[in-house]
Amino acid sequence: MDEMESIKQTFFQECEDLLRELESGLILLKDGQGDPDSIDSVFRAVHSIKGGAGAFSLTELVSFSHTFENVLDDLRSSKLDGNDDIYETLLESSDTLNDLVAAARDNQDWDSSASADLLERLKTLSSKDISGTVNPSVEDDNDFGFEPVGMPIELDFAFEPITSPLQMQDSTPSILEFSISFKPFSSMFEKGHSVTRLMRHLKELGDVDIICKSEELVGLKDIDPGESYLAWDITLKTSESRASILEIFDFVVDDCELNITSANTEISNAEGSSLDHLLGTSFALEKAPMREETDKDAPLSFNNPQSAKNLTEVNLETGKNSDSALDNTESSALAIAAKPAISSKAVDTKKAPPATIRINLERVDRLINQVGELVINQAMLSQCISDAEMGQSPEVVSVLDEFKQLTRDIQDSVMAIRAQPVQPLFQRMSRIVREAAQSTNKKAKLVLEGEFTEVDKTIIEKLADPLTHMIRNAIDHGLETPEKRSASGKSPEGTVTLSAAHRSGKIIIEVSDNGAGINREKVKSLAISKGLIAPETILNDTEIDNLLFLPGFSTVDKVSTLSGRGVGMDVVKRAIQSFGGRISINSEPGAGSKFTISLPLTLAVLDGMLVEVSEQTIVIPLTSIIETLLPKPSDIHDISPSEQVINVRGSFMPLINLAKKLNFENGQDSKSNPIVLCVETEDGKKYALMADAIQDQRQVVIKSLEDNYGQVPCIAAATILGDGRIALIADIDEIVRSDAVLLTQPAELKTLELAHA
Amino acid sequence: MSLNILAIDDSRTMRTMLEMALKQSGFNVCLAEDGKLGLETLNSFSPDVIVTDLNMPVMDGFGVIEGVREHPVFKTTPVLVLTTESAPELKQRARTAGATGWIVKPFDKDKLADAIRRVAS
Repeated sequence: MDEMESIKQTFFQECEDLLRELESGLILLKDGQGDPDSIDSVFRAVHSIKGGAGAFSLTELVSFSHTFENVLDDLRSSKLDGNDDIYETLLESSDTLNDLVAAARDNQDWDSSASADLLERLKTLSSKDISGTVNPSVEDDNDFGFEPVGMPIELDFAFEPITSPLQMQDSTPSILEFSISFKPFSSMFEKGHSVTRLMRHLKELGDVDIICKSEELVGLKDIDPGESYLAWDITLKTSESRASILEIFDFVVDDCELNITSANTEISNAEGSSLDHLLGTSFALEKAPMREETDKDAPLSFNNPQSAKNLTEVNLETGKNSDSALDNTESSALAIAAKPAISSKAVDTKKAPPATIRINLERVDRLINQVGELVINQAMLSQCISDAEMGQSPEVVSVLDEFKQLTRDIQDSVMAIRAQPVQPLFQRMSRIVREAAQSTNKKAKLVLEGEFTEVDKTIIEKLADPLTHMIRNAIDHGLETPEKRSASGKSPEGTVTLSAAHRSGKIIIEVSDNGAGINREKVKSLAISKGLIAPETILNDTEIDNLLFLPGFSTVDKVSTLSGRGVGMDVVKRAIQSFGGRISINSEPGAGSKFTISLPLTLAVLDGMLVEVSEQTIVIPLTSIIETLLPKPSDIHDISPSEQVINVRGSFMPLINLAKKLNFENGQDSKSNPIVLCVETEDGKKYALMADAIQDQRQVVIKSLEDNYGQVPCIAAATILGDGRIALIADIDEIVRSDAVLLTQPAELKTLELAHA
Repeated sequence: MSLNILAIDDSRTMRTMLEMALKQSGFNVCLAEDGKLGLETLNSFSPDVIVTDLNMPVMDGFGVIEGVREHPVFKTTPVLVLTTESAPELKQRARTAGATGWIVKPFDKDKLADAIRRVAS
């Protein structure tokens, strides 16, 4: 059943979208910004999840979403007025639904006790009697019901007391003879029904004898093809009940004259009294045929307008409709009048989303890869042209420039395909905020800014974990308790702001809170007590703040109900660095803290500086280079046989010999005129890298070394140059990290050693 | 000749399932994700039977039934309602609007095909 499996995948993908819609809709409603469309879409989201879950026999999911849906339905039809508490419950339900979907996707068992309390609360909110309406049996044998057998669960429920005698009758093998007279109105044909089908159906019940009555048939020249002229008399010998016959006619009873008589009326009489008694007015309409059946004087006859004295009001109405065959429009008009909201919505298309298609990510990646090849190819062409000394011709130059521009444009467009707004990711965080606030007894709201900023999909995926952790931290450690906040004159509800923006070729994501800010005294003493820094160390504010990122700063003894806690900010930092990002911290006592993540726009290309190291070309990411120098030999000082520092305008930086670091040579025979690149690391420390020469500055396509070869120390990835050679892209942070040379306080030296132990 | 089936459902999952089920049963399938788009395909696709969901954005299943019944060419095309709903009042509404049959989700592939063949005759 591979196909089913793939549809199941589609279902879970769709669920993701639906759950997002659900959550954002609920938040809108809660904030009082919802409109009728919001509640409709919220309802439909749960409804669709239920529908799909039913198809895959995910019973837990079906029954939860069913209860959930009922409450939303009440809200939609204004039977229930939403207030903050209700929306809180609904948001919680949306979280639980999320978990249920995840459990179903991962084939995990769901512990229903976890959601039992919530389910109860939902049931109290709902006006419907849920116990009777949940349909856990997904394999319903009567999918195609023309009523009433095996149809709506509500009906089965209402009929329970009388279905047993009926079934008893069903089980008796006695053959009964029914006489059926049937005359369709033209409206029956207009609704797509056919007499042949009905007759074929009757035949399935037993022996039939069908006589067609054509007395009313007019001559060929007078015939109206839309009119109904024929009637039928049928004799049916069957062991089936009357209900089975009625079932066949269920959808046409409004549009025909139908009389069913049988020799046996005793049992249906007995049922009749109990049935009449049982039928509430709300079911009277649906049950009209059954009620007729119990009329012992008359043979079955319903919807014959002349004899329909005891039919319900609505049935009379439809009877009238079926009587006058021309009046099809009237029924439509009636139905439209009954649901103005829906009809007006049908016209309203302004909210239709822009046309989109779904593409397999693999195809996009292949395209990106191919465009990458194109960029390389273009570089090779440029090189060939210059090698062939054709670079002087103005035509060649202008065509080549155009080609370069076009290649770049294509590359940008392709990258845009992968770019997605961070909104879904940001929205997911609102749940984290709710949960974290609840478990710490704090009040917090999440404010999103720039959620439509587009970021490479791969980066978005990788951001989820670090962001989750940072948001939890902001609430757990950043925000104060409501009492404390009130005492210091703040609103008891804290605010966590999550923002995204494009800034000078980078994406900046900020997580800030308006809490108490970092308690630097506490942080420093904690770092000392954990042996991360020496007690006598003098640190400025930024340095103290950065202690948070040290491995071992956060301890596991703080693990609480929130999963994933106890993981330190060092993990967050490492995660962000792993895809080329940086993180920094900014805190103001009493006003809050702000973590800033800066990310590359894409993971597929990189602006780099090509440098020569021992006759090899190495690419240094441009983002980490702050300046390049041609040092005088007198600027370089040895501080030990293997360690050097460089004097840059009066300040000293550790100098790292790239060739030595990358094991290209033994490191002793440095070139006479080396160049130096000053680089800056995440924590603002500056280092100098020594190389032989600068070759070029250009955009390179990143080719994973790990995928194609294996991990190499100090190397982030590889790229292909214009001449077809492979060049390695240096991993600056790793180069710096693995270099123990430091011209700073011994305590910090210790710190770094610890960090990379 | 195989029958043309227009299937209207806003759920991607359901559409995928319907497409698979209907194609395996030998029908030609046209899918639409809301009632309005469904009705727009009538002229080009000429469905023999329409299968529609009830609860949909833009235009719901009742809108589909009404739209079909008012259509100059396709007004007699059978319309089957395929829904998780089973409330009697909704069913009566569908019947009044001119639905040909009512199938409760989740559906069985063969029964759906059977139902379609039955109403298409």
